[in-house]
Amino acid sequence: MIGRVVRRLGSLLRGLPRRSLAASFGLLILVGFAAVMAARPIAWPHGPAQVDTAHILKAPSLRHPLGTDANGRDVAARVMDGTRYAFAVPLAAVLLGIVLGAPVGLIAGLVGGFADLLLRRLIMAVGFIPPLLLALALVAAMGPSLRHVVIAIGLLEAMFFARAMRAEVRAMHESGFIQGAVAMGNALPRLALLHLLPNTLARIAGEIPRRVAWALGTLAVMGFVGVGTAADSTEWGEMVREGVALMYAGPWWPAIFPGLALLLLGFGLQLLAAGISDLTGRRPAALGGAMGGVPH
Amino acid sequence: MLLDVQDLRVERQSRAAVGMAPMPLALNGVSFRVVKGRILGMVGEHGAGKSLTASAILGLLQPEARVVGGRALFEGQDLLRMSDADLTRLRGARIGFVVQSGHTTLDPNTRVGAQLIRAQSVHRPIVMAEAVWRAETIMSSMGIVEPRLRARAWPHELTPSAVQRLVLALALINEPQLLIADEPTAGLDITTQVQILDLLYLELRRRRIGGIIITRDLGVVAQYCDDIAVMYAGQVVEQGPVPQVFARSAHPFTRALLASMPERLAIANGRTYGGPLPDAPDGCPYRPRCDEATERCGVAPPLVGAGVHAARCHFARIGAA
Amino acid sequence: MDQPGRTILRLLGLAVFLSLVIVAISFLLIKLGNTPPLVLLGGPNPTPEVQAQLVGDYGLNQPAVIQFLRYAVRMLGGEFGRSWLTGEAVAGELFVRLPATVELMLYAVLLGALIGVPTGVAAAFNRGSAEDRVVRGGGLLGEAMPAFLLALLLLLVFFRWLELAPAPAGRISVVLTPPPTITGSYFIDSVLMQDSIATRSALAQLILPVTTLALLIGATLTLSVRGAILTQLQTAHFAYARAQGMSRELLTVIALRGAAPTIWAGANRQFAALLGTTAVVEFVFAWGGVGQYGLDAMVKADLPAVQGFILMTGAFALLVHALAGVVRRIARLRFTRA
Repeated sequence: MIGRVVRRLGSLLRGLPRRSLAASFGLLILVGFAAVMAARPIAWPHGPAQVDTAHILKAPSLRHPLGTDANGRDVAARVMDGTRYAFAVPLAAVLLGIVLGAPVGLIAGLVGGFADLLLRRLIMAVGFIPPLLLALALVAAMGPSLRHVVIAIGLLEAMFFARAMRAEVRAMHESGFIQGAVAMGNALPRLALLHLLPNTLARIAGEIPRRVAWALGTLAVMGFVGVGTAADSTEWGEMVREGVALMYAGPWWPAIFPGLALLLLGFGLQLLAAGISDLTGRRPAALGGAMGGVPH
Repeated sequence: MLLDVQDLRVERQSRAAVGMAPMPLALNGVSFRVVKGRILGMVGEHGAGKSLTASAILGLLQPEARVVGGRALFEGQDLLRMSDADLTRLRGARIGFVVQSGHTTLDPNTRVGAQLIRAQSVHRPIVMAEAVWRAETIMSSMGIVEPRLRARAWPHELTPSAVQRLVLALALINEPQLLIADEPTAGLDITTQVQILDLLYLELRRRRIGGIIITRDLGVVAQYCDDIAVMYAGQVVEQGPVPQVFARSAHPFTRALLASMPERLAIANGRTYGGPLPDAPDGCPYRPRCDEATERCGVAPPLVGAGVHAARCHFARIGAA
Repeated sequence: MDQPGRTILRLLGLAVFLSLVIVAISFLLIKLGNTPPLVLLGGPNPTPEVQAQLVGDYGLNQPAVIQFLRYAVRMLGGEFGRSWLTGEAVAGELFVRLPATVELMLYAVLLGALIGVPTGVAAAFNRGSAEDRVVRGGGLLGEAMPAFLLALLLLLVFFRWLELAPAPAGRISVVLTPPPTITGSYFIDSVLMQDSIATRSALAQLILPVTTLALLIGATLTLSVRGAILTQLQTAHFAYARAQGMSRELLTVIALRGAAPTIWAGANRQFAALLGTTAVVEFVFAWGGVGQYGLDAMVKADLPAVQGFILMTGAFALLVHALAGVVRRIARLRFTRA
């Protein structure tokens, strides 16, 4: 069974460049980042916390391709190390969002009526608050910690997934699929759990790259503004914040390179998302905010 | 020669799945001619390529399709090699186009009269009074009553009959030399179909211009067209004058098509369907129309057969296997 | 009750409900915090008298629902509490900074539309071409671009390296005094006062922030416009318009007219996110608008200010949404008969 899955995945990947250039490039970028993150401890000569007071604020050179920061630390190593945050936090948040939001959306869609209306109006109302700002405010209120960051972003992702699930389930409902299955003797809860949930999740899965991109962007803003993680971490937004003052004075590399890493990873995610929507023929969810787009 | 299409080839690109054979050409060597003053009927089954041919000639192919060979000579120029700018000048002016289902194709956001005026102003500088007069005149000749009142209507307020008359008017208002009508009566009820077709025919004859009527209805071809081009799987498999092709079709597909429409065939061949009975029949009354009539039929035929199934014919074979 | 009356009532009810939800969020923000309400409101060490007064004012010993209701009434009445940092009324602080934000957003939207719409239209009409691919790639890049990065990049190039743009120090050079407030916009007010030095400075300060925001808006708008126009290009009546020989300009107008509702709806949905982006841009350029105030408050955990800020942005987005809906209805009545 594993072998079959692996083989299927293999053939899918091999046909990908022909079917969607965008998706292939996006995937390439993501894999590249993952590889860099994994390989750094063994393949890169410098460490992210390695202070070297003899080489403070050195411009990019052969020895330090991305330069050094105010403490003489290698920027490249720090950026590579920061990939951990860039992968872990958005993925955790999106996962949390799915776990919290999908069941709610599923139930609302199935039950219909007032519960469904309430959910929709609730999400609509919250949607008027700029999602980025709401996430930041939540972390500000809860207190700065990585856990709170994940929870805050996760809550907002949950709203998206709840709404998306609800829409899918509603569509299935209208198509008579659900009534048909029930009429044939399937109990609703079992039906929901075993069939509806996996099916609709698969359909929504195409939205995940965009959601991850949003989470990543939000995390970065938190770091940049100074709301989220602890100081002196290698989270990219945080690194940019520390580098800004330096940038005005001259050394631009401690601030810009982490930002460029952000851009590249985000771009890869967008490419992947565009590729997926090309392949599946489904149009992407309404662009904009937590409900579909990337915060800036 | 108004329009001379030679070996037109059109390819439709589709996202071929991995490992599939390349798709055959959508149009695989289409050739036909339209003579000034004559009407060509283009028939074929669904998907044979009739509408695609018209789109290709007019330069209106969807992005997935493109011309890969052939020529389409109109007034000495090859339409397939003209720039879009030049083609734009021809379309709606020297070549008129009558669409099917006008109610989905007319601009829903512009009043009817304004559309007629716009159709003129797009091609030449106009004087408003003259343009309005032209619009009202052509609406009248299309049988639209109270043209001035109608001109202020929105497309969705018109009956299907009025819509198609308007479409016809839009196609003719700039006095084209060639009119292409793509299933001009699709979706209309029978009475309206006849009205529109009669109108189309009249205008084509009156103006002495050439026309192409694309249709799936052989009866339309029989009644309104001078020439016929039969399309099958992206090719013109037979072309010729209607009487000739109908009487002695050369291609098996044409024969098969014709076999399904004996009454219309008879009309085309000049034989009346119904009509006044002969006043003093000598012999069998069906004799004038009958394919198998012989000398014997000058004598009144007996009633052959008994019981449930009978026929009055010398050659009737009842109960034959 | 007649039809329009019922619709208005329904909309009002919706507005009230939505406002309550937004207020509830703000309320939750406080409840989520670790700080006990007394400290929240009265400072680190409130005296017994102050405590008693606070308990009375805010109903702190009453059930949460009552607290919420009192809170809601207070907030909806415009009383946002006092900032912990400055002690000033939050509502007042926000109100004073509003023109700065509005001005920035207005110019950015205009410029962004100027960039985005023609690009999107051109890309749609030339679908599949090399230019189209570049446009799509650029759009995706714009979507992935963090606002603060773009702002910093522009500052790096134009301020630090080329020395063309001024320092990111707000809406006017620090050495000048702002013009007296007529509209609230430093630029317009300087023009009105015929103060050419101030005008030039205000204009200079505007360029980078507006450009940053406009580029981001333009990118998203381009993709949205391209999609909407493509849909139009594939309709039957567009094909017919081409068959009638309409010129490229006329066809563009027809396509735009058909695509306008979709584009408008898309822009409407984007507005809330735009407020977030604007806040970040304000933050980088120290613009002195509502967004910067809110973000600063968040960094310093000045929760009353944060609450008020969140409520204000929600209300603002709600208002704009309602107005956009009105515009849509009017346009539909006037321009189409669909």
